[in-house]
Amino acid sequence: MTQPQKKTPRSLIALCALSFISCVTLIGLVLWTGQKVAHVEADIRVKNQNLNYEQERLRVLKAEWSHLNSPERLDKLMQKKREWEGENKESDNPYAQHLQGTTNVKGGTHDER
Amino acid sequence: MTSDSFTPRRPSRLAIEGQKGAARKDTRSRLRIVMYGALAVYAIMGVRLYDVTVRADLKEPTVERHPKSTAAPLARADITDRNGILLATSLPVSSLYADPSLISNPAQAAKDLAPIIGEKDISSLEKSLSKDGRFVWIKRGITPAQHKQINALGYPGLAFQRETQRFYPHGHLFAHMIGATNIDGKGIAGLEYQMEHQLSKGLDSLQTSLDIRLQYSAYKALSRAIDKFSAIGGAAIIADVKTGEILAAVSAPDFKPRDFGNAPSNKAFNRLTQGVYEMGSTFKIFSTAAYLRERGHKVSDTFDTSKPLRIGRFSIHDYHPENRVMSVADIFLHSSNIGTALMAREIGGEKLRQAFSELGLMDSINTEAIKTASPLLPSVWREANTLTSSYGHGIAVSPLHLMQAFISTIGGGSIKELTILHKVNAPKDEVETRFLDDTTADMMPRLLRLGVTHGTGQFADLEGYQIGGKTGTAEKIGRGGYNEDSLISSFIGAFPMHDPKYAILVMVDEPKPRKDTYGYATGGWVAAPAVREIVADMAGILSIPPVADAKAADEELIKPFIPYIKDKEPKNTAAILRRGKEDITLPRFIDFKEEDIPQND
Repeated sequence: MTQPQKKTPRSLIALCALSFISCVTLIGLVLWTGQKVAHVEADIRVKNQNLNYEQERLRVLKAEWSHLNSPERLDKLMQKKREWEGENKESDNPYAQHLQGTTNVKGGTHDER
Repeated sequence: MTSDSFTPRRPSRLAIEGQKGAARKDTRSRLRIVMYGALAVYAIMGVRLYDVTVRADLKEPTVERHPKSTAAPLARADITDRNGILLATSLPVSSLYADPSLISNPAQAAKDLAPIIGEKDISSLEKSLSKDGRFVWIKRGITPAQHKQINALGYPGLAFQRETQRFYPHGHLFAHMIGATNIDGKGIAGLEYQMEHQLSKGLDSLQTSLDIRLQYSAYKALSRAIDKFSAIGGAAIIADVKTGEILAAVSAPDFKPRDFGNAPSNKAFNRLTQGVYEMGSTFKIFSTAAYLRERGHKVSDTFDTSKPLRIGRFSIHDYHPENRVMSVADIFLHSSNIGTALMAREIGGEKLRQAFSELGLMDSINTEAIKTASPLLPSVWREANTLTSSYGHGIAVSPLHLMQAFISTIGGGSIKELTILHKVNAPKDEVETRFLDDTTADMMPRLLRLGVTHGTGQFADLEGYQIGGKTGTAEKIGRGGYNEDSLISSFIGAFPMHDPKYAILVMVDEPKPRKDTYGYATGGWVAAPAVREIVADMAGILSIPPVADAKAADEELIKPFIPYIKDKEPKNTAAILRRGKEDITLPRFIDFKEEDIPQND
């Protein structure tokens, strides 16, 4: 006489199926979250890099500003300006003549009218 | 009809038996194996998927092979002046390195690279590019333009490392005080060295007490004096009398901080901290203060300066002897060596040494940010040492020592400590150590003003600013003793003397006499006009108005001493200077002239 075969209860199959689906969903969720986090991290990294870059630029600008305002440099520029002004006075301002010439050329626009 | 019809009961599962049944079992087993296999594959894929997505390090694979130690360090703190102007900062730069194993033609690479990085020695560059290792620095701190050009060459074995490099926006102007760092950003001189720990860790910026505008003013005036008198160098300091803050400190000649390693020794030498000098007559300020505090403020005391003072086989002379009995006030304003030595003898060596010691003239200055050389003192203090040290011989100190002692003497009588750090949050309840009693502390600024209006410091005078001070001219020691052609000429002063706020020292090393100074290269001719220049600049920079009625204010200041001096009328040096050189009358310099100065024991 043959032994009747043991039956797998339907509820167990349903549980297994549910577990499988949950597992897959969970893995999917984890993957999605992971991707999201990775993107956010990459975003933060880029932002931090930009911030560092801007801070570096700011440092460079500050240094340039400090150099440009160096009293020694300003003094030299002032002396040059004085020399230039002195030369201008002595030579009856050759630049003024040049500027005058330019004005005349511009004045030529009358003809164009 | 009875329902006895047979309804066979449906078996829950049909069991096929026999040959077909066995075949079916086999199939089921195989399917199960395949299913398990597939599940295992999916599980592995899932785990791997998790690994490469969630756990993955998304960084680009690195191609750099530089050693760990060359990683960009944390930015070193900035150094600023008292108004926040940048004096030193760390900026990002690229440094070029090579992996020689990836350079197939080092000769060609060297030839291409040399003109870009400014390397003249192509063969040594080629050697570097042919080395056995896999990492070699080619050039640290290259410019963005160079970086671009090197990239354009397209050599795979050349790569860049980002670093920070120290940058000094004002170049040489603060070279000796701020100092320099080495290629790895470690302080090797000046404040960079002294404050290494604070600058490299945890500090945003270090605010010094220096003022860039005053620094330039001091530099300009000192440079002019050095050029005019063809001197080998000099030093200038501006300090706040009330707080002890150094507002400007210049040592000349100087160097470019970025080239500190290549600077010649005479330029790298810091006269402010490393140099110790016999200062000459400026020491009379301290001897006189010591005398007045010990002898109950008796400016009326008199001493006979009519003949040289002999001690053993040595004798002490005056440069231009007055040959008369002089009061303490007269001795000071005529800068009499004999008189000052007699005053020192009167109070005794012990008291004089104690005063010098209280003023910090016997030890090196060693604060958080300043460290000076140790003063040179006689190993055995004899009477001769007492007499000579009273007028600044036989004892050698740094210019910072002189300034520190000076502000303690004129700034209300309490001991002050020089600092280069901005005292914005200084505790106000600092314990005061008194050097002078109130009366002597009140007398000293008046006496110094007298030294300018009536004495050897006339060329420092600037109308309305009540500058007071003392000249000093000392011969330097050369081979075979003191050399009268090799001088240290200085002037130390302060203003306004009714309430001294700023102290200024100008010291010029080996000035040469000039025709238009009547062959003189003394402190009064060399350094006093430089101090006057600085005060004139400061008045503009710091918006300091002149005293309303200068003459009356001066009279009020020097009134207590007038009965005790011979020449009661002040010299109007300002007017003389305004009239021009041809009208300058030869001032009556009474600086010392030593023929037989006792040597240090």
